[in-house]
Amino acid sequence: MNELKYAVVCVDDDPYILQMLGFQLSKVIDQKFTLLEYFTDPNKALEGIGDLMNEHIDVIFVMVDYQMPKMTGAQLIRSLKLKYPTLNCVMLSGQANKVSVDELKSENLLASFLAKPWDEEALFAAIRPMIQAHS
Amino acid sequence: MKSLSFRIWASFALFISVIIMIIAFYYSKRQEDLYIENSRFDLQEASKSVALAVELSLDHENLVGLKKALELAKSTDDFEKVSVVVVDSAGRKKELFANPDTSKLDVLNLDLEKYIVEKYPFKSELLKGEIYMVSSKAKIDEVLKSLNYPLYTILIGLFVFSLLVFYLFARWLVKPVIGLIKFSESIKSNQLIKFNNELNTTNEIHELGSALISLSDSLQTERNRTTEILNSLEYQVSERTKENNLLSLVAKHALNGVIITDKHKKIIWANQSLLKITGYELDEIIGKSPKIFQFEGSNPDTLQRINDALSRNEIVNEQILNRSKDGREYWLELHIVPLFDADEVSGYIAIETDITDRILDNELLRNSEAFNRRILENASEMIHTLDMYGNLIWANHSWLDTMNFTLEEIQGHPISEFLHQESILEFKEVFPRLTEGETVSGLICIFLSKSKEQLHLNGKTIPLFDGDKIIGSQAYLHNVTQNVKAQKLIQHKSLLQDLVMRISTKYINLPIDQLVETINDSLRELSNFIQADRAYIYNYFIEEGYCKYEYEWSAPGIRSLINEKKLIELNTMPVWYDSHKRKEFIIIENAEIVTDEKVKDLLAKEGIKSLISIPIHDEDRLVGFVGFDLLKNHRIFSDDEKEILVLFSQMIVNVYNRVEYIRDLNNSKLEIEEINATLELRVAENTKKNLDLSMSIVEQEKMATIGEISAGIAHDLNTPLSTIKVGSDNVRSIVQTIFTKKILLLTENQLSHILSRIQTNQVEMFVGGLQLRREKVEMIEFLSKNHDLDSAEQEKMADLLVKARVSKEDTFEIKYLIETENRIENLEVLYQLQMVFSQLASIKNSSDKAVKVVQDVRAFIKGETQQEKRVFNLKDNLSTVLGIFNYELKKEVDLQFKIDESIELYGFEIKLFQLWSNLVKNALEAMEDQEKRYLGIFAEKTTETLSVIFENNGPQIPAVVLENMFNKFYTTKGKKSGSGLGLSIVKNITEEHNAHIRVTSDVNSTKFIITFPA
Repeated sequence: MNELKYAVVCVDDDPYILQMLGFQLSKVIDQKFTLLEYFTDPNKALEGIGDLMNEHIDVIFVMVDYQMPKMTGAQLIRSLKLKYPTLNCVMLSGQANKVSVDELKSENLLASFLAKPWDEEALFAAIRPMIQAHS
Repeated sequence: MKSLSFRIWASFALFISVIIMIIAFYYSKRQEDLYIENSRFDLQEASKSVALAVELSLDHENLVGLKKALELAKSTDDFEKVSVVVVDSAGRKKELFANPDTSKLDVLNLDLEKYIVEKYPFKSELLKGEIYMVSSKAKIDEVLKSLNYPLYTILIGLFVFSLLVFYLFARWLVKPVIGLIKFSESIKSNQLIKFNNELNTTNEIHELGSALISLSDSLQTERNRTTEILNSLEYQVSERTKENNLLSLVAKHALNGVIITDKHKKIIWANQSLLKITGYELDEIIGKSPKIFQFEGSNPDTLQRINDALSRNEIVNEQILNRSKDGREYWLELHIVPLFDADEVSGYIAIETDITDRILDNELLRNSEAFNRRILENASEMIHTLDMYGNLIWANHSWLDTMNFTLEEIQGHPISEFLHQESILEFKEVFPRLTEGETVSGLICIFLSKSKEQLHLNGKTIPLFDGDKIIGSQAYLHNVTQNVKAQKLIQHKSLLQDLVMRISTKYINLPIDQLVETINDSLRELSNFIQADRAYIYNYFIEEGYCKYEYEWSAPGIRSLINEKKLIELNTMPVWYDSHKRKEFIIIENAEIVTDEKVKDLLAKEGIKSLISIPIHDEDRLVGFVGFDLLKNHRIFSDDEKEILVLFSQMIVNVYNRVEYIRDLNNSKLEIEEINATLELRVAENTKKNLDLSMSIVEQEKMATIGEISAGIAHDLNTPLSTIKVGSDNVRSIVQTIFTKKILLLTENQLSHILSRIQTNQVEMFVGGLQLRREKVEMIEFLSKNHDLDSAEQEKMADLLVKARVSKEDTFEIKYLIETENRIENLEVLYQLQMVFSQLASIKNSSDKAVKVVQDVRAFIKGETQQEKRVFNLKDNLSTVLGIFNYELKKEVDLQFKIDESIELYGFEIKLFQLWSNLVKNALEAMEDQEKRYLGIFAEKTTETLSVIFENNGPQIPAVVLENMFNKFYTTKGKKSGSGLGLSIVKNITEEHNAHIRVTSDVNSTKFIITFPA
């Protein structure tokens, strides 16, 4: 398993979302070289991403839900960006706090934004450039 | 010869005398008749004019005029007496007023042998009577006598003259005639021869011829002389006749002095009266100027005025003091009339009346009063003195002060000028009694002060004597004006009050159905009061142009007009209508003297003698009029009566207004009844409206809440919806993959195995990539140990086994999956179907979640359809609300929700949603700026109460906010959020559950404690 070079991380407090998202992503991501990782707890996600970074695995993008207990998606993205400024972050939100999203966008912290419920095509369109850039 | 001549002469004289006597007798007789006839005519004319003057004077209440009329009658005509006799209603005659000079004569019982009486009736509103003019026959005889003197003189003159003529005739005419007769006789008796014998015939004839010639000459001479004498006689007679004419003119004034002058003012004639007055003989004054009567005491101003008037040929009326021959000074009233012959003044007639007595009387009077005056001057009684003509001579201070005149202003004025018209009549009664020496006490009279104020005076008046002669009168009067006024006022008031009270009390609370009867009754009472025979009320309908007969009363036997004259068009009575419009009465006191012929005819047709009509005004609006007809008598309406009628008209207005008011009131009643009838309905409607309104406020507040938390709700819905949507997409794509080819390779056994495994094996929803890698490594290791597979196949199988969540411990299953036909395809189908099932389960779970969110929201906003109280679980109830706020509460709020699941509550479930949600919202808002947020929801149950406590760590609430926070529209949040109704709704709902809410707040926490009765 040494060939593992890339990773995609999804963070959402709703496990069903993670399941659905994972199934969709598995269609376009070659899991031979790319790790598809899920977190329901943003703090654990931070930890996991840190581990991946330490092992020099290239994290293609992080997909984050906005509304989560204890920490919002925006807070998580800000934290990640502080440590890994080049990390691609995709926001996924049921009812985004528009102000917060706009702030993130204006600060160039978001690679893309998807509103729940999303279309598969929209998801693929958003992530494809990032995947291609890493393959 | 002598005897024959004498006989002829004597018989002639006798004959002439008899003729003259007969002529004289007839002449004087005729003269007398003519004179009496003339006197009668004069009396008639004079009485007629005096009667007219009296009527005129009475009409104008002018006693002065009356007096003057009488005086004029007296001064211009020779009457014994001029008298005003009044006839009262019973036909009794009484002498009221007479020419004072001759007042001793009783005109009502005159000896018609001695006096000529002519009378003429007069009639005025005040009184009627007759004017008596009396002449004495004795006076006429006297006048006739004086008139006959010149006649007798002429007759005697003529007699003497005729004697003389006949004497001459006898002497000059008879002698030759006699000679001729003698001669003819001698011839007849042959005395011619004898004649011849006696005379030389030739001589004789010659002598006769001479005699005849002489006779004829003398006859001629006599004829001439006679003619001359006759001519002179004729002249004298004509002169005398002229004089007689003058005399007859002036003779009427025989009692007064009469002077006739020529145009040079030389006296040519004066009558006996004048001679008597002046003391001169006629010859002494003939040819002299009347100036001889004047002396240094005669007023030069008066004389000047006389001369001036005469030079302008004007009539003179003056009073002057003259002196008689024997030095007696006397006052004359002069009346000089110029005489005209053609256009030129030919002379003057002066009629002079000796008024010395009159003047002296006044002087005497003045002297006699000098003493009295001093005593009386300052008496408190009002005292005045009149001369015998009724003129004021003097009045004391009290009199003058009360009347507000000065002595100068009243002196010489007739007292009647100061009397009220009512008192003038009385004065006319009293004055003759005074002039006859009677003291009149118990006088009640009304004087008019300078300002025409009525003064009521009581007292007496006494005649003043100078010796036996009455020279005037003096009156002593008390001013009782105030008493009379007070008395009148009281009388008037009580009378008025009686009537008005009697009428007006009837109208108090008068039922409308008795109105007509009562108004008619009032008309009867008023009619009785003013002696009317018919009374009626018309109402004006001005816009319609007519007036309508509304009410009537008519006396028994008097025709009712109510049906006959029901409507009168206004244009047929414009004058009446205009008068009424101007708020004027129409008063006809005597229908016979109405000037408007139309009205007169109309009134006559109805037999109306007097009428009065009073307009009825409501403020300025003409409403109608009240009328009263008098058919039996004429009547003058007093001010009191008019006042009462005005009052009545006002009362009618009030009655009309009341009727209208009652009508309005009835209408209002009907309206109110109608309102009452619909009120219940309207109250119900309004209540519903209010309910709707209050509901809508609650609704509004609820929707506001929903709005505020909609973001959270959307999130809570979108999350499961995402799962559902993506899951369904995934399932479709997996199923498509399966059914394209792979599944066709599987046997029935293989498929049933797969399905049974899917149903029994609960698959984890997702597995992280790292874990999958670890498991795959372990699986490859397992496979290489236990199964003979090539490396590629080994890896493929390991990958699929991990993904299909087949544990390496499940060796039996792994063995089956490797040994079965088309193992790769079989495993793929297993994995994919397992995924389908897993995702379907996720979809179901997510759907449940979404349904719950929708249910919560629906429960929250479900409206008020569930109005009934019921028992429900407190925790479930609260959980619904917290579900709604799920999203908000996730934001770092430390929620402590500790409610015993057994606690139940009785109340309005939906309303309590609102209550809790408002408290949650309030807490969240309060904690907005807190770093750490804490919301605790607890319940404490005792045997009597159930308290639900919402605790938050928001900032302390200031006291002023604590006081007001439950008031409607009180908000500390500005426009940002909330209707300001949130906590007031909390309070209302609390009260609806008989609960009460308490708030405590300190720096650490704020608690809302709602305590329900258990």
